[in-house]
Amino acid sequence: MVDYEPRVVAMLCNYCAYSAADLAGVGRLQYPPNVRVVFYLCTGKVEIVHILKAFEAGADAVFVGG
Amino acid sequence: MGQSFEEALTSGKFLIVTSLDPPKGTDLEGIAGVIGKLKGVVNALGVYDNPRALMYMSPWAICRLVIEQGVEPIMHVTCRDRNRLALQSDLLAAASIGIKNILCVSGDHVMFGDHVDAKPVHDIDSVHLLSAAKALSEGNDMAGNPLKGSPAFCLGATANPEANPLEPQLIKVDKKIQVGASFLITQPVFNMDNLKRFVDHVKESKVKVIAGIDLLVPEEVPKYRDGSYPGLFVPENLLEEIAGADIEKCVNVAGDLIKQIKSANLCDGIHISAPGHEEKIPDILKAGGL
Amino acid sequence: MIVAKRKPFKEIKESVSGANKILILGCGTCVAVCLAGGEKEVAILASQLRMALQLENQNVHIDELTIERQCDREFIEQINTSVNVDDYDLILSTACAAGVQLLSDVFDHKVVVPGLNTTFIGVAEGPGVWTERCRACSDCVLADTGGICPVTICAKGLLNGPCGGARNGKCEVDPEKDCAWVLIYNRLEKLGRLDKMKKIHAPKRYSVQEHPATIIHEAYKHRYTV
Repeated sequence: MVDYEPRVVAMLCNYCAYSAADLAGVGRLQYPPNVRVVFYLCTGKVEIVHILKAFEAGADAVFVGG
Repeated sequence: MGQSFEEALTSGKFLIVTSLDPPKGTDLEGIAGVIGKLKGVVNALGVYDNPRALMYMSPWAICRLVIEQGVEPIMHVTCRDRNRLALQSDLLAAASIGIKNILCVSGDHVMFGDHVDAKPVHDIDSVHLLSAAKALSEGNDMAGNPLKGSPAFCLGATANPEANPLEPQLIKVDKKIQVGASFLITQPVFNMDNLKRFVDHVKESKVKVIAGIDLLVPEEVPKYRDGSYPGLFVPENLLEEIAGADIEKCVNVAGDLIKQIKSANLCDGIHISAPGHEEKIPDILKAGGL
Repeated sequence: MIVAKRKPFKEIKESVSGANKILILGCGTCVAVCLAGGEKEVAILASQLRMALQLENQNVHIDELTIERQCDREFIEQINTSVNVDDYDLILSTACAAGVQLLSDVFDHKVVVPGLNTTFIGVAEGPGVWTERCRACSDCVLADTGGICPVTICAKGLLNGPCGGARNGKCEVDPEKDCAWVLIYNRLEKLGRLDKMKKIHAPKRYSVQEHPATIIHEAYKHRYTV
């Protein structure tokens, strides 16, 4: 399973993790395409069901950054 | 023993009672031996009713054995396992085989026992049970129906002088006395000031106070500490003294408590509880100067 | 309100086995407030079930719906405006057991199974915490017990005072819980009404607890009596 690339859903907070990702982009740093970012105004709004839905849709991991 | 327990209660002499666990199973040999050894040592022999919610033989059967061996029994009756019909039926049955002394208790909660999924009945409480037994003695059941032949019970109740706060206990004890308890067997006592406070409160009534004395043993110390024995509140310093002590030392600790009770003339008797160590009861009494 | 908690997932999964189309029906009243069977909890349960069944290669279709109340026929009958109940093999209800039963009565040709264990009548103590306060004994004693119910709060339901087991004001059954009778004593003392505790309370009258009970409001009696 060397080729295994997990699909990660990243739920990111506008005020920190998302800004950091943005800043990384400005700095032309790259992140792998198997991370899909979901923008949250605040990760306090992440519901259990959002995470479950991500898994249901085929995500291998969920990353909550807030 | 010419004098009955009821007569002994009013005679003013210092009473010695103990209580036994009925057997778990039908083998009566062991308990018959214990009863034989205690004959002449105690004024009456109590028989627990599924103590700590552990399932044992019904106490009336053991009370009958106690009578057959020439000792007077005190049958414990708990409200935990039977509703008011069954409780009254059993009281009548007990009377029919010569059991006179009844100790009415609420009963330790089912969760302490070996049938934790059982339904805790508690249809009536210990105050109600006392008044039901009183009513039976007066010729009526709880619903007021007349009886054909009625028992003559000598009724007892329990109380915990070590309870903190004590006041709610005292209110309940007053009710127990009011509805007909003529003797009280307390939970094990350790602090004489607490016992005195309790005895001072009930002094006005004619109720006789029999103080609980527990034979504390080192192997049970963790259980004394964690509340596995409901109603048993052993002070920490005593627990430390008991931990690691040999049985002779334990006997002396119990004996010391008896001495303190006797010398302060605090109450009318003692109830020794020494489950599994009943053979030590004569030694405890000796250590207590009785 | 009625407080319930979700059944273990394994039990729910077993109870729906064999059904190919399932409707998970939430209730928007008590069980939504206690975070057990409202819209969000239905969504979570549906998602979990879908994944668990997919992992076993079972092709089961699950729909979700939450109605205002399942303990009232009017609300249940409105289900058909949103879904066709006959499309489903089984309805998994996350209402209290009263709701589950009424649902089962209304759709008596459908298999209805519960997703919750109905636990008690209680109050919200704070976010996410509920405590039991009433046993629905039909013979309320709160007037004499300082507004604290011994039938409910005392582990033995004692009516005349504490047992001998309370340890420093805590119940013998659970050192985390207050002894009901110590609470009652303190409250009555504060209110100057200790005489209420000194009174002997008669045994509970179980005859007033009709099982199953029915109440018909006075004003409606003429409708239901011949």
